[in-house]
Parts: sequence; structure tokens; C-alpha cells
Amino acid sequence: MININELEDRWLKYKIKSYIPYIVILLSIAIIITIFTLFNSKSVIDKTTVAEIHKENTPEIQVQNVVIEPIKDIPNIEIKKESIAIPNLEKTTQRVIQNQPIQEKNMNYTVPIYNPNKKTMLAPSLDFMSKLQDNTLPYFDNEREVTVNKPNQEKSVQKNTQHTTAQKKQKVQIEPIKKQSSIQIDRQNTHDDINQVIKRFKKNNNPALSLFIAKKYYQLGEYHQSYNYSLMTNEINNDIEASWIIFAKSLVKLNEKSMAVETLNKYIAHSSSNRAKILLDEINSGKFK
Amino acid sequence: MKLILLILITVNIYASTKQNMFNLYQNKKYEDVCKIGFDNFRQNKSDEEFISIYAFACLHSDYIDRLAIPVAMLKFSNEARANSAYFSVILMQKKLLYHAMVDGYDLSSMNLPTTDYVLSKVFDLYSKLPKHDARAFYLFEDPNNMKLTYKLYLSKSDRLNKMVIEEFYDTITIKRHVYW
Repeated sequence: MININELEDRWLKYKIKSYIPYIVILLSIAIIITIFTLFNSKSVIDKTTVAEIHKENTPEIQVQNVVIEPIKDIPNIEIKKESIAIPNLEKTTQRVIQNQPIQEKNMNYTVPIYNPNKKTMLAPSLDFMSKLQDNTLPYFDNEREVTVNKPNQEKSVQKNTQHTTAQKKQKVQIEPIKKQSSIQIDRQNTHDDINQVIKRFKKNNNPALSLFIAKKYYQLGEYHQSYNYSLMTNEINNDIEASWIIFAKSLVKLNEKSMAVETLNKYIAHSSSNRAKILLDEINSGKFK
Repeated sequence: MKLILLILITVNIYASTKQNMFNLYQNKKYEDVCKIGFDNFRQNKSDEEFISIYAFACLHSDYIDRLAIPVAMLKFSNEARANSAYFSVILMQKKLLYHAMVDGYDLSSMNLPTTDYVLSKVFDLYSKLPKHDARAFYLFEDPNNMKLTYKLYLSKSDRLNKMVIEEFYDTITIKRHVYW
């Protein structure tokens, strides 16, 4: 005998299952549409603000015209106007001629002084790079773990530098911590950025990130941290020239000049790097301190 | 379902191009970034971050002519305008220096803004020279670092002459830039 109730249940389940793909399609289309509309609304806002700025700027030009108007009161104008023969250029030449007596009369006019030797320096703006860095990878939940010196790191210090004694290392650790306290007040945002990069480095162990951290710490004057992170970079990949350079520079800043020279000599023998040679030269000559 | 999968994959690829470029940029693979940016420019032409990375990568890999489009496109943010001005100065200096080297155009009367880029440094040093006859090569000393010198010369060929700038540190060649 056929059990009709069971058959009906099975049919219902089958029917529900057959609708699932359509529901998924609809939901995903809805999500995509909302994302696109959100992006578009942002760009529309940008365009309207640009249009508003244009509108705001246009009256300024009118004001400039108004400023020029009093020129008509000066009696010299008409005489000079007649002396100009070309009718098409009448308006423009009129202005040029009119401006001359005004500049002579109003001595308050600030005229930029032309200095042929002085050049304006244009610098690139790289803030967008930090924004991009924030978007790269998901972060860890626990913060501030890598910033603390681990005993493993100390071991690796011994491996690479070979000649360090335990006492020297302790000295090296204490000095930059004193410097940190003075710098942190001014550059809190940079520290936040570094912490975020540290989280990402912990996640994927990318030598490019540890090198970035080392460079940032070096820029902040936290030479012990820059030393640590350049060391980590060297451990992951010992062919990164920039990392060895930062490593050596940090050592010099930590009053370990001989160690820096030794490290650079070893690296030059290994890679014949020109930058390393330049740095070694600068350290030996006392140019880099 | 297949259609949705396809859409999702394309959206994902679209987003990951910029990230991929950024990772390559961090690893100093500027030429690769410039090429990827060039291939995907059309899809990302409204993204100023994308254009900026592309432009900086092309600058570092000496594809100066590719800066022309970013110069025109970067305008909506303060940062983009600053970078646009920076690139436009370098592009102009490259064109002027090349014109001077090939055709003997006089640059001594020019007082353009400068940048930290090597081409700008050489342009400044060259434009300080008074009007002169063409030389086989020019050697300039960096005013900030006496050990750093730049050699500027034309690499001639039947089809096209190329302008070469070589950076030296104590007779060691650091980098060679070729422009045309």
C-alpha cells in the first residue's frame, strides 16, 4: 500500500528544495544591487560637492570684475584707449593699460618677487598607501603581542651578530624604551598604523610587512624595534637588501658600530650590494652616525 | 547559479587587482605593477588610489610617458592633485630635457619647480649650464652629496635616440635610466 501522508511530506520537501536556488539567486542579486547603489550614491555626493565648489567659486570672478571697475574713473584711460588702433583687442588692452596706473598709485599691492635661483620643491603625497594597507587583510583580535621582546628574538640576535654578549643586549633593550615615551605623544596615529601592520605580519609572516615595520620604527627613532623587525625580515628572507641596510643603521644608532660594520661586510661578501657598500663607507668615514 | 558564481568571481577579481598591485609595489616590483595597472586601467579609471599606485609604479620603472593619463585623471582629492602636479613636472622635465639633448633646445632661461626624482635633479643641473654646443656626455655632481654623480648622454641609433641617465656613487653605477 502507498502511504499517502509520507508521499505528500516528501513532495513538500522536494518542492521547497527546488525553490532554494531561485531564493539564493534573488538574495545575491539584491546584495549586489545594494552594494552598487551605495557606491554610486557616494560618487554622486562627490560630484555634487564638486559642482557646489564650482558654484561657490564663480562669484569670486565677478567680484574681481567689480574691483577693476573703479579704473574707469581715472582720466588717463580714455587717452590711451584712443591710441590703440586694433578694435578686437580693445577690451583686453584696455585692461592692461588701465592696470598700470593703478599699480603705480596703490603701492600696497603685493607683487611676488621673482628669484631665479629659488626653486619650488614638489613632493609626492603617499597617504593613500596607508589607507590601502588598512584594507589588505583581516586582523587578529589580540593586540600588542609582537611589540614585546620575546626570548626567541634574543636568540636570533645571537645567531646573526655572533659577538653580542648578554650584557650588551640588555643595554640595547633599555635605551630605546626611554626614547619611546617621548615620541609616542606626537605620533600616536603612526603607532596605531604600525600595530595594525604588526597584526597582519603575525598573520601571514610576509617579509615585506616586517620590513615596513622596521622602516617605520627606524623613522620614529625606535631603533631597538627597527633592529628586531629587520632581524625577523632577514630570518624570513636573507636576500632583502633594504632590510640589511635598516639592520645595520639601527645597530649604528644603538652604538653598536663595530657590529654594524661586521654585518655589512658579511652581507657585501654574500651579495656585493652597492647600497651596502655605500652605507659601510659612510659608517667608516663617520658620515653616518 | 553559474551566473551568480561568475558575477561574484568577477567582482572579487576587480577588487583584488588593486590589492595585488599594492602587494607587488611593497615588494618593489614596480614594472609588474605598472603593467598590471596599464592592462586594468579602463576598469579602474575612477579609482584614484589605483591610478596613484599605477603612476608611482610607472615612475619608479621609468615609464614616464604613462604618467600623462594619471596627470589628467587625478583631480578629485587634495592628495591626488598634489601627485598630479608632481607627475606633471617630471613628465614636462623629461620632455624638455630630451628635446634639449636631441635638438639642442636651450633650457638655461627656465626656472621650473623641482622634485626629488633623479630626472628633476639632472634637469636642474643641465638647465644651469649656459648655452653651449652639444657634448658627447655630461657629468653632474650632486650638490647635496659630493660622491653622487650623474652622467647624461644620448644613446644613438638609426630609429630613435634615447636619453640615458646613469647614477654613480664613487664610480660605482647605482642605477641606469633610459628615456625616449
